[in-house]
Amino acid sequence: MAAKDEVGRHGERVVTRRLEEQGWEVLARNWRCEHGEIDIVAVDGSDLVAVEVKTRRTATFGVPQEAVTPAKLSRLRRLVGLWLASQDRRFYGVRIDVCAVTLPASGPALVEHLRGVG
Amino acid sequence: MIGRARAIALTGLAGHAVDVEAHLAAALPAFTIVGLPDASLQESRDRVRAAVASSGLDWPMRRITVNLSPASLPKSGSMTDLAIAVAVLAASGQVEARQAARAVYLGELSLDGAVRPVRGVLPAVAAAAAAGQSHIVVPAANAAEAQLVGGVRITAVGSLGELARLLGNENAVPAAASGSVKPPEVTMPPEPGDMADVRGQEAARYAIEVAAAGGHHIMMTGPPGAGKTMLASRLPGLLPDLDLDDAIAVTSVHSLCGTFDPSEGLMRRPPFEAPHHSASAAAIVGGGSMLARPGAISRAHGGVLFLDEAPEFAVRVLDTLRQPLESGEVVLHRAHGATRYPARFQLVLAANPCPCGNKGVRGSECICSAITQRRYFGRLSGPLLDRLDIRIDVEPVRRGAEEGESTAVVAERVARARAAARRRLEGTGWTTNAQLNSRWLRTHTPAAALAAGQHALDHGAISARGFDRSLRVAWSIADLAGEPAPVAAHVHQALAMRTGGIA
Repeated sequence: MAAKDEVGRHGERVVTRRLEEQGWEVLARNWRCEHGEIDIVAVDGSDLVAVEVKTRRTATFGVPQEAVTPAKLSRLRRLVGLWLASQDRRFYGVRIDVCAVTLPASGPALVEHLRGVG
Repeated sequence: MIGRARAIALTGLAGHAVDVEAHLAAALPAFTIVGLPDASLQESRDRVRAAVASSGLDWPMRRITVNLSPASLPKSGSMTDLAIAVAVLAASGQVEARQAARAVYLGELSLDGAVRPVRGVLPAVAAAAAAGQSHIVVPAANAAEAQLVGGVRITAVGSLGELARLLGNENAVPAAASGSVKPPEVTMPPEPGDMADVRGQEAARYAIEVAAAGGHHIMMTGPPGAGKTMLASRLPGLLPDLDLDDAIAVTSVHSLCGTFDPSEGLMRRPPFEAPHHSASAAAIVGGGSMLARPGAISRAHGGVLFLDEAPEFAVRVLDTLRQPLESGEVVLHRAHGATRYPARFQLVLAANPCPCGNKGVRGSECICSAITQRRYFGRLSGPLLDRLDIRIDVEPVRRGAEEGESTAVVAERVARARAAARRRLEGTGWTTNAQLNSRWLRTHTPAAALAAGQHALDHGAISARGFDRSLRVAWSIADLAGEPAPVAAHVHQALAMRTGGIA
């Protein structure tokens, strides 16, 4: 596995732990279908949330949240629909969050949680 | 988190105070400007972002919405760059927000954080002062121009970093050596020549003097080389200095055109504009999409508009002059709204007697057919000619003609005549004889003078309107002669200036 993928995996683990600490119910991680992947599917209160995790070690190529493009957001919207169709549970609302994770050389990871971005 | 700053949006010479608000939202990074910005203002997003980063400040990784209020007023240009940058910095807590919200910011940003000079600073600062703003931040290169407006505190800044430090950010880095930012180069028009250079031409010289005294529009007809251009270009030298209101209006127009040198202070001398006869209607009256820019007639505001070879101008171009001649301003309508510019100028037309230029010249033969001659002058429409109080023929210069009086001597006579006219017209709202209406002329002109004109009217030599014009000119002749009111001889002289050939 390439180093960049390992960084991404680590970021997703960090975010999952934080979300569970906040009382979110994580339903799926790395849910895949033929159109792509949702990093985390979780329930926040009564809402279903698709969480996109972006992890970077440096800000040399911009902060992580800048890497979430409008094209990526529209794909996520479609994937959430597909995920909902694949199971029977119903939710009050659906939204997409972005968690930007920055991994400093030492110390704990920095997570910035952007709610309802798309 | 909301940051505020103030800016000025110019519509023509009218400035509107604009509130710039920046809102930062915790969402994907984006930067949008709302409030009817045009394409040039949309581009300020990229300039502001780069300038902030270059000044040692952080660009907030948030969804930034900048609103320019009133949102329904179309806004244009790079003048609001600085206010947008300050609003964003205030919203992200990088400058003292309360302090930042109190001032008006004018200036364009360069990518390295330097504040570049902009056009139209004078009308913008004047508008800010009129809107009750007391503190205005301007580009260092425009400081001299901004200081021409009294009663406001002007702070000149060379870079965004310098401004951020003034607003309480210790970490900001002023752009290195902003020596590259020079005030725009201005080529000042050459000094008008002296009347003493005009040899002979007593009649034409006198007609120019009368035109200067009364503010009359004038047309000169004569063969090439007779000195028409020379005479016209000496007219501004005969006119008195502009008063303060006019000086501010004239300077504002030239500030907007970038044709004004602020180191000389307000423009006090009447301007002289001589557009070439190939000029388009837009070049003469002003034009352009979105925000129409001032044309030659507005640059000639308070001074002289000289159209050499007048019949060579396009008919459409000449006819666009009619409305400004009547109202003293030009209103340009565009899809986004109307723009108003002042355009009170003294019109001087020059024309050859015919296309070949030899008609009526002793010793040379005119080769133009009757139809070409008629067509040549047919381009000057009746309504336009109607507005010319003085129409004279300029004869070729005779050999051994003597040098005339100098500009200084003539200008003093003109100043005395103008002062007399102003005293007489106090309370009427008029300042020169050219503005007098028919009713005033008929009630104030002495009976003997009226009778002299009536005689010409009865014989059909002039129209009723031509009669009024001759009376106006007669008042100017009387003012020059130091008489309290015109006598019959003055009216005869005025009549001669209407039909060509002077008495």
